[in-house]
Amino acid sequence: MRRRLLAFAVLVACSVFTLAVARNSFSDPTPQRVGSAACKECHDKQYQQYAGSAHGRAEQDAGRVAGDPGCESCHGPGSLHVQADGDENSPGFKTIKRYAKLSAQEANATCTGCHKAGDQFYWQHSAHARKNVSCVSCHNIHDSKDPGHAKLLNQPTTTAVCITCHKANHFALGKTAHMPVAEGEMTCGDCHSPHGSAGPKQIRALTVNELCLTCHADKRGPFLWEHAPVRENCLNCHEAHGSNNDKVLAAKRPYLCQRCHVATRHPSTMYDLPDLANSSGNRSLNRSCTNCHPQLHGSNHPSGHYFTR
Amino acid sequence: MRARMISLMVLAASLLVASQSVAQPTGNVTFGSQWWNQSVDEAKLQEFRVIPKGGFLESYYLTQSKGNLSAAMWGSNALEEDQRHNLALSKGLKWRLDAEVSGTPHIFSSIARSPYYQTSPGVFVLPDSIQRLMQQYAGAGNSAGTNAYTATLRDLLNGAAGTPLGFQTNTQKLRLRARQGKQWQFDLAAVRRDREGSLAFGVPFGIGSATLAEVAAPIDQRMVDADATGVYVNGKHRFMISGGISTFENEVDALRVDNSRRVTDSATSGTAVAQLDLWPDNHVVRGRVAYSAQLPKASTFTATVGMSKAKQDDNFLPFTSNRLLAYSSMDSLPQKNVEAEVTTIVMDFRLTGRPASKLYGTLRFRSEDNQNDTPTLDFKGFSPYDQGFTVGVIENHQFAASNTNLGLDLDYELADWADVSLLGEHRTRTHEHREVEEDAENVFGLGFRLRPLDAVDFSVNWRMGQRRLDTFLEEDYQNAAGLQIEPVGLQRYDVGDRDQNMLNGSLNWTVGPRLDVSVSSSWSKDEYVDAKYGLQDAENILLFAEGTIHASKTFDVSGGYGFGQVKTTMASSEYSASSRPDTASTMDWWIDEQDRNIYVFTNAEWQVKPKLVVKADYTFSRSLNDYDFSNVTTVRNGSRRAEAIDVPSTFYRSHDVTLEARWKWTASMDLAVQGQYVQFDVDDFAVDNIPLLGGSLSGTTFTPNAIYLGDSYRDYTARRVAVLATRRF
Repeated sequence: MRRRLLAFAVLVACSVFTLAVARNSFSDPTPQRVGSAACKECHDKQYQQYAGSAHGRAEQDAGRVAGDPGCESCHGPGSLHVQADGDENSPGFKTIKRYAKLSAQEANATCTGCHKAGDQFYWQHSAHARKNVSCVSCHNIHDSKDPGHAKLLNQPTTTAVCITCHKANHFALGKTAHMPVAEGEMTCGDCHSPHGSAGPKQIRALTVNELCLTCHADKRGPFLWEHAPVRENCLNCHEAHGSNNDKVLAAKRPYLCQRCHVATRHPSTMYDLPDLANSSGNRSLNRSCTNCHPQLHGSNHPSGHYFTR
Repeated sequence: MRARMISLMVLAASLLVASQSVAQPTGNVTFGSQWWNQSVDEAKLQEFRVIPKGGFLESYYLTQSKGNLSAAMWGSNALEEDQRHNLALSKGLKWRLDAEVSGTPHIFSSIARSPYYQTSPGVFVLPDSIQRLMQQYAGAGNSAGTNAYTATLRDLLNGAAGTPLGFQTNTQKLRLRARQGKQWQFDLAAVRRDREGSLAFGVPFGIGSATLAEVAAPIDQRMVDADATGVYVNGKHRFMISGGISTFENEVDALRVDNSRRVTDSATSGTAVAQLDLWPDNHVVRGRVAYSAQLPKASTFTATVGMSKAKQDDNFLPFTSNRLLAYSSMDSLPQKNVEAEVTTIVMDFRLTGRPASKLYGTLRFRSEDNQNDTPTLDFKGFSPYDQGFTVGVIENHQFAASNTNLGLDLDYELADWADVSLLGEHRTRTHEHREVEEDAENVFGLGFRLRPLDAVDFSVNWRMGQRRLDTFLEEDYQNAAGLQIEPVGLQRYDVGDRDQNMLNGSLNWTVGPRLDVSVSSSWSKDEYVDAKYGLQDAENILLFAEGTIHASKTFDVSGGYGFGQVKTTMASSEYSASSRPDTASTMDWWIDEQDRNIYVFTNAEWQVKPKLVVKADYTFSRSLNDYDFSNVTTVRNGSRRAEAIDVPSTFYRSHDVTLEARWKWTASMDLAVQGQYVQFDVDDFAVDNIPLLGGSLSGTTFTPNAIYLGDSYRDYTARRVAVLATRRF
C-alpha cells in the first residue's frame, strides 16, 4: 500500500512538474534557431548575396569561427518570426533583429562579436564607436553597392560613405590641389581606418609621417641634411585633404616659407609686386623658393645643407 | 604593364572557362565608346585619370562559387593608364587571397619645353657650340654680352622640344589571409609600387649664383612594403603581433646638367657640368605588438607598442663637380656616405568603458619618440654654386622629436535626447636641435549633442588649447661666429606659443519623407601670441549645407553649398647683411592673406519612364586668394619704393556638368548616353604663363635669369560624349 501511495505521489509530482514546465513555455515562448534555409524561403534576394559573401562562407566553414554562424547569428533565432508567417502584427514577427531599428550599440555588439581581429582590433577605442556610429551606417550586408562587394558598403566607394558625414573633407577634395580621391584613384580608406587604429586620426600607420612616406618613400631619408619640420610632421606644411596651393601646401610659396625664415639671407625680402619684375622674380614665380631649394625635404649632398642640391 | 594585362586576361578567361564547368558566373560589364576634345592642351583635365577616345571598358565584375570555393574579379578602365583590377579567391574562411593591379597617372604638364637633351637617365646636355658661345658672351662682361646671351638662348628655347611632365605609379598588391582555427588569424600583405616619369627640378647653379635652370628630372623608383600580422583571440583576450619591411630604390640617384653659360670649368664663374643629388635609397624594418582585454563594465583595455628603424647609406657625390675648385675630389669628404638611421618608437594605451550606465569614456596615453641616430660628420665647408668653396667646419644636425599625449574623453547621457561630452588633454613635445626644445599644451573641450525630435540631430563642440614653450634658445638663431641670423622675435608656428580655439556645429534634419537637410559649420583660430615675426594668426571658417528632395517616387534632387575662408597674418622684416641683427621696426612688413572658396554641387535623378532614367550632375568650385602687403618703412631695403604693392590676387574656378540618360533595354542590358562639359579658369601670377627664359609680368620685362620649363596652368574647356552599355549576367 505504501509503495502504491509513493508511486502515486511521484506520478502526481512528475505530472505537476511537467504541466508547470509546459505551461511556462506556452506563456513565455523562446524563439529557437531554424536554420538559414528557412530564411531563404522568404528572403531569397538577401540570402543570395549573403551566401556569396564571407558571411555565407562562414556558415559553410563553421568550424573556423566561434558560435554558430548563419542568418540567425546576426538576426537572432527565427522560429517565432517564421511562425508569424509574414504577419507583422504578430508578436513573434518582431522577435527577429532588424538592424535599422537597433541602437548603434546593439547593432555593433553583434558585428564585433565576430569582427574583433584585423582593423576592428581597435574598434572600441575608435571615434566612430564613441560617436555611436553604427556598422550599418556604412555597410549593407544584403545589398552592398561597392564593386566586388568585398567591403559590403552601402555606397559605391569608401569615399562616398565617408563624405556623408565628413562634409569639410568633401569640400577640401574639390580644391585645385588634391589627392586623387575624387578621380577614384584613392579612397579615404587608403589613409584612414574607419574601424579604428593605433595611430592619430585613425590613420593606417602609427605616425603621420610613416603614413605619408608609404607612397612618398623618396622623402623618407634619413638624410644627411634634414629639415626639422619635415622630420617632425608632414602636416606642418601640407594640407592632406586639399588646398588651393601647389603640392597641397598650406599657403603659397614663398609666403609659407617666410612664416619661419625671416632674416637668413634673401628670405627677409618682401616679395611684393615690384619684386616679381626684377631679379628676385625667380623667388616668387613658378616653384618659388623650391626653384633653388628643390631638396627641402632633405639632402644627401655634402654641399646640400641649404637644400639646393 | 602589357605582360600584367595579358596575365589578367588569361586569368579572366580561365575563370570564365572554369565557370562553364561548375556554375554560371554572375556579374556585369560596362563598355562603350566616347569622343572628347579640349580647347587648350592643359594637363589638369587628365591630371589623375585617362579619358580615352574610342572604345573602352569602363568596369566589370565577375563572380562565381562552388561549395566553399568562390572567386570574384572586378575592375575598371581596362588597358588604360588608370586601370584597376581586383581578384579575390576564397576557400571557405580558411583562405582568402586578394590581388590588385592598378595604375595612377599624375600628369603635371603637357606643354613644358626644355632645351636640354637627356642622353641617359639624369644626364642633360646642351650642344657644346651653344655652351661655348655663351661662355664667350659671358666673357664680354657687358650689356652687349648679356643681350646676345638672351637673344641666343631665347632662339634656342623657342625651338625647344616638348617634354612631358608627370609620372605613372603602377601598384601591385597581394594579400593572403588565413583563419586556421577559431582563435588564430594570419594576414600577409605585400605592395609594390613602380613610379616612372619626370618631375620639374630646379638646378640652382649653372647660369650664375642668382640664376637657375629647370630640367625634367627622370623618375624611376620602386617601393616595396611587406607585412605579416598574426592575431590570437582567446575569450576576452586578444593579441596581435606584426612585422614588416619597406624598401625604396631610386634608379636615378643624380642629375648631371650642362651649364648653359659655360663649356669649361671656372674657379669663379661656375662649372661646365653641374651635379645634384636625387633621392637616396632607403629601407625600413618595423614591428608591432598589441594586447587587448575585455574588462568588466563593458570596458576594453588595449596596449600597443611599435617600433620602426629607417636607414639610408647611399654614397655621397663630391662637394662640387668643378675640378678647378679645391675639395672637388671624394677624398675631401670625411666618409663616403653617412649611415643615417632614425628609430621611431610608439606606445599607445587606451582604456575605454562604461563606468556608469550613462557614462562612456576613454582614458588614453600615447607617446611617439623619433630618435635620430645619424652620426655627426664634420665637413670642411661647402660649395654652394660650384663657383667657389666656403671653408669652415660644418656639421649635420640630427633633428629628432618626441611627443606624448595624455587624454580623457567623456560622454554622458543627460537624457534620451541629450548628451554632453568633455575632453581634456595634456600634450608635451621635445624637438632636438631646435630653438624650442620642449613645449606643452593643455586642451579642453566641451560638446553637446541634442536630438529633440527623432528627425533632428544637432551638435555643437568647442575646444581650446594653449601651447607654451619651455625655453627659447636664442643661440639657436646665431651662427658659428655668434652673428644673429634670425630675429629673436621670430617664433615659428610649429613650435611657438599658440592659443587655439575651435567651435563647430552641425544640424541634420529629416524634415519629412521628402526632404533631408544638413548644415555644418566650423570656426577655428590659431593665435601665435608671442611671435613678433612669423605667422601671427590663422582663422578658418567653414560653412557647408546640403539637402535632398525626394520630389516624387520618380524624381530626386540633391545639392550642397560650401563656403570656406582662411585668413592669415604673417609678419616679417627686411634685413641686410650689414644691418643684421636689426630689430628696428621700420623694416617690418606684413601679409594679410585671405583665401576664400566656394563649392557648389547638385545632382538630380528622374525616372522618366519605367525603363528610362535621366541624371544630371553639376559641380562648381571657385577659390580667390588676396594678398595684402603692408610695411611701415619710408625707405625700404635698397630704397626702391616707399609703400608695399600687393601681388595680384589668384583665382581658380571650375565648372563640371555631366548629363546621362540610361535606358533599360532588356532585363540584362542597359544603354546610356553621357555628355560632359568642363571649364577651368585660372589666374595665378606664379604658375600662369610661366616664361621659358626669365620673363615679364604686367608688361615689365625683367632680367632673364632662369630657364623654366613653362609648365603653366591654362584656361580650358573640354567636352565629352559617350555611349555606354551595361550587360548583366
